[in-house]
Amino acid sequence: MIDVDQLVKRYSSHGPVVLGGVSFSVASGRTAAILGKSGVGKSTLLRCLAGLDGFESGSIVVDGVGIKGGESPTPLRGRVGVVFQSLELFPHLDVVANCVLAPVIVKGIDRAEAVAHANELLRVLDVDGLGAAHPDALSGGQRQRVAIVRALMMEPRVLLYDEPTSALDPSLKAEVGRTIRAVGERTGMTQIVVTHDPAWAAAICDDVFVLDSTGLTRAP
Amino acid sequence: MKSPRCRLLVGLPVSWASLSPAVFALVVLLTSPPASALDGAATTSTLERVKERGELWWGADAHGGAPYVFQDARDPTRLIGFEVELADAVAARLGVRARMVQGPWDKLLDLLDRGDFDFAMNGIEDSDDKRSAVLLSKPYYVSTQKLTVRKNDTDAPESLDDVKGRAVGCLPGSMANKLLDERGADTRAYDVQDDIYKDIVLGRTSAALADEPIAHFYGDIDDHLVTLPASFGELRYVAAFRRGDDDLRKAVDAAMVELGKDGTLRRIYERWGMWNAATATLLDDPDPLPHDVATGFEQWRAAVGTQPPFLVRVRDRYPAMLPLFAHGAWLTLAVSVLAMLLAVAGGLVIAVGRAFGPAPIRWVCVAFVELFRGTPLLVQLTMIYFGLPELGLTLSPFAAGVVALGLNYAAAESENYRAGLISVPNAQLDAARSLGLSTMQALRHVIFPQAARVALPPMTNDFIALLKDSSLVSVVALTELTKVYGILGNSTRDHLGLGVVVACWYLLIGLPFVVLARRVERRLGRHLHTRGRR
Repeated sequence: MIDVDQLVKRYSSHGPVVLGGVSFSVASGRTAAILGKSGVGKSTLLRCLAGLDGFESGSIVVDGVGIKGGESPTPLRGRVGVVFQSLELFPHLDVVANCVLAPVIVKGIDRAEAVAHANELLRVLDVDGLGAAHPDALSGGQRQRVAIVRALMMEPRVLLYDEPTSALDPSLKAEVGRTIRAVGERTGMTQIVVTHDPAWAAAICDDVFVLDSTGLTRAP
Repeated sequence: MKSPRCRLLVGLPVSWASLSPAVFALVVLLTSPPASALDGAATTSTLERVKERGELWWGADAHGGAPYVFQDARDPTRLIGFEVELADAVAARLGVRARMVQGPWDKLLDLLDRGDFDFAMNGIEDSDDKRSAVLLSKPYYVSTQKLTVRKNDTDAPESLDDVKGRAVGCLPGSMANKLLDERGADTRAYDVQDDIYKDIVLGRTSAALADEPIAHFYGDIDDHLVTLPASFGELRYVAAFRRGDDDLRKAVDAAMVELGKDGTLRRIYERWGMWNAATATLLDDPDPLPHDVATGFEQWRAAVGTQPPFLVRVRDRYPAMLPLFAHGAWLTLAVSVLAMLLAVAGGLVIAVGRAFGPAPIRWVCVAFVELFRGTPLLVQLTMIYFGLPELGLTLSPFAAGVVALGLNYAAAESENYRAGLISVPNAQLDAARSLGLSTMQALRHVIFPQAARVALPPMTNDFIALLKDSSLVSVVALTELTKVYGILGNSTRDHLGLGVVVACWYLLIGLPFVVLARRVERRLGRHLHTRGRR
């Protein structure tokens, strides 16, 4: 589970407050949505949760490992996986190499073992047989699943999605929703989806939170 | 992960791990003491070291051409000239062998000061300003200035009184240059003797003023030219020694006096067609007229007076030059490759420092780039070779060449890499970090391989440019490819044919790297499916 308590974030020490005391928690195995208009700090919150940016005060705890305001956020990296809006697959590496890069380098896992694990996860998400292809050669949906597998390879406790449905037509949105549900059901992963689409969020997610200038609240 | 991709970044088939011995070797090479005429200077005098070593090292420039020191057109690997014979005769008197050390003529006194050789002897004029900087020997030859003009040119100047406003060629910084400036001539200074006389024939200048031996060897062998009998301004050739080397100077002077007395000097000067009244007076010889046939001059005239057809030169003359060109090419290649390794390593550090370092490191990197990119390579090279010894750091010519080229190109390389780094979106770094990679791991495995594709084409360009810029290291007494061309060109007056030969050598060295770079580029770009982008 992930537990966020009174998180405050400014861009600089005297700059304006971007997140003014955000608190929420998501229980293990649940999929939560964070809704909000553009500019309210959704991406900033996601960067804090992913361990990419530090914050001024408050705390984030992921399955017992936590950081407080002012501390280095790096312990969260790898523990919280991210599927970026633009996916950010590594274009110079093929699908399998994209997936095994971090486990092999960061965790020192044997490459053959990592490849076997990657192929298994690719099969789970119905993108098996594409391991030798480069990201450029894949469809948008296939790329998204590969990005999910790449994040899962680090065995995170929480998986974040940044605007996974932006600029997609309704049928593709539904497919993305099915993928996210499938990940939750097949891996038991705790998931947080940042989106600005309330109807889609209500249909897919177990919990829905709304972020606005006053803070984060549970949707009615 | 032992990815093979990391090695592609440097564009050479070496992994990071195997690069370190190369860098180590480079460091050893650059810091090891150079072979210097000053080795052991603290305890012994130069004369003692000459005797100990069994060799007398004398500095001269074979680029200066006939009849001083030059490659024999009939056997280009052989060094000949009246000063070669003088040095041999003097060395024999001292009981040692003479060894010529190549250096650019206008830098000979600086090289002497650095200790690259024991003394300099190469048509150096006796003058007061030189006397204040170095020790000078007694004169060994007296030359006058001779005016050479086109035959049948009714408008040609007949004496120095006629040169005002006329285009007249000479050597830069020579007495002729001074005389022409004083008379208000439109002075044209040339680095290469042969060019001075070619331009009279071509009508670009109306006359040339030069030392008598030069006028004789380059003007008199051309049927279109005539050297006027009148003599102007007298000058004396002397050898130059480092201050404090009085014992060596005295020994050389004594040897010269004996060589004058026993007729050796006269025989040498007659052989080269240089015996004149002023030199006869200098040597207390009552007979100002030459008696022997000037075989040295006649052989020169026969060999270079008229060039055989190009194909005949290719068949008969150029193969004999192969060892000289091959040695020059090897030096060019070695300097260029080592300098490029230094440039790649340095450029990488600077680019990363600029892109990811804290503010003070960024400033240092920017300052380095602007300093080395914004000032001429020649200035940097001269400072490193001739300037650093003042601060107690004396680099060998080879090391100085590698360091100067390497630092200069590191500035250029860093900008190539920065362009490559900028081309990779920041989000790629975020993605790598979110997976738990450290910044260094992310750079190495994610950012660099993508940046390398962008940086490689300009990098290949730079290597070829560096290969050509390496010709500048000849100012620090390295006889690389272009210098070999200059020396042989001036020794055989065959500038066009040898130009083709030296061009082939440069292409031969450069093309393999171009082919290698294309391959690496293709490898780095193999994930791209748009043909036009490759």
